[in-house]
Amino acid sequence: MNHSSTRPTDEVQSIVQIYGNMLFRTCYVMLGNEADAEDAVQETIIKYMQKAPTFETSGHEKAWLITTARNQCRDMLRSRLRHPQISLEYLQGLSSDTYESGILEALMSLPEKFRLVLILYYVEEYRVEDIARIIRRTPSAVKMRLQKGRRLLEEKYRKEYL
Amino acid sequence: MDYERLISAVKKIEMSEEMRVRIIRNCESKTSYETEERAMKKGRTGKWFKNPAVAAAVLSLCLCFTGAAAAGDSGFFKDITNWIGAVVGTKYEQASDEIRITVSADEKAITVHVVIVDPAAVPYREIETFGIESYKITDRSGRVIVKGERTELFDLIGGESEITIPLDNMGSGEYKIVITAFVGAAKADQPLQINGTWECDFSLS
Repeated sequence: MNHSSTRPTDEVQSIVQIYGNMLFRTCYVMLGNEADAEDAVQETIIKYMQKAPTFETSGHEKAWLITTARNQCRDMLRSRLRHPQISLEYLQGLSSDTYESGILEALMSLPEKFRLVLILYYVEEYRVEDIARIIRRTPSAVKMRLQKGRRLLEEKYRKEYL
Repeated sequence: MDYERLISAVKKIEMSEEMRVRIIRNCESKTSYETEERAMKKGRTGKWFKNPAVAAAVLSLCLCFTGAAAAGDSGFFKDITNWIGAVVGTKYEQASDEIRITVSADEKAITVHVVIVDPAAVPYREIETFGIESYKITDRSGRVIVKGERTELFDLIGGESEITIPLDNMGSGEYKIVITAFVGAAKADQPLQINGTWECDFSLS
């Protein structure tokens, strides 16, 4: 990955168009509320514009954005440790299907480290090795998180929604 | 556990169109503002003044308003935070190009005629009354004659407003008003400070 000076501002539109929803989803799952997720996406894109990294492939670009968004979310989570706030209102409005809204609420009730690994694996379809690079952990740590995340999600869902 | 349903549920988490537009606007404003600022710090903008034709054009514009210095940049919202970093309000930055002013004056008062370039745009479409948050009046030599804060608020109708500033004991001569912030208000909302720089010359006879 190389760095050039800064990106032209008209690139903002295309980057939001291509990666906006993916970043928002990732940040929302980590932070649990819409407003914070919006801030995190915004900060991520601003960093992308300022640092102007260049990538070999679009896959590298996507991974860089996820890593930066994750770091941004973690900074925000650290700053609000004393006042955790998960808003489920937005989730409840997303689907009229009770199974889907139940599964989302169960997912959001898991610790953040399991949520992120689960959505990177299932939704973004990353391999364990790629997730390990993004979250800077070993592949075996990712496998453990996936295993434990799946177990916790099932337990939570059975307990609360069945 | 049906993971296909989990995937389908998570994929429904999408940003709204309004949010997308807001993010694009804020990111573009922030990055172009910083680029401009960096260029100014490095003294690149000084090159303009090496060309007399360009310098003359800039100076003649400055007689009406200096908003043109940041031409092409649009405003953006910025949180106001207190010393522990908690957000306590919002202000709107870099609005120089979004508001035009003209000034008329007599010995009793100055009237600042404000025209919002795009009254349907956020934040102007929500604003009902408009005033000046901070301004100064200088004489021809640049000496500050009046330094004022928050004027009375006047109706903003169709993107236009006339703000009156009473004058005391100002003799005849050439003056300049420099406005660094407006304030807009709407019912049940906190007043919004709108920052930028607007200058206009006027004379009292």
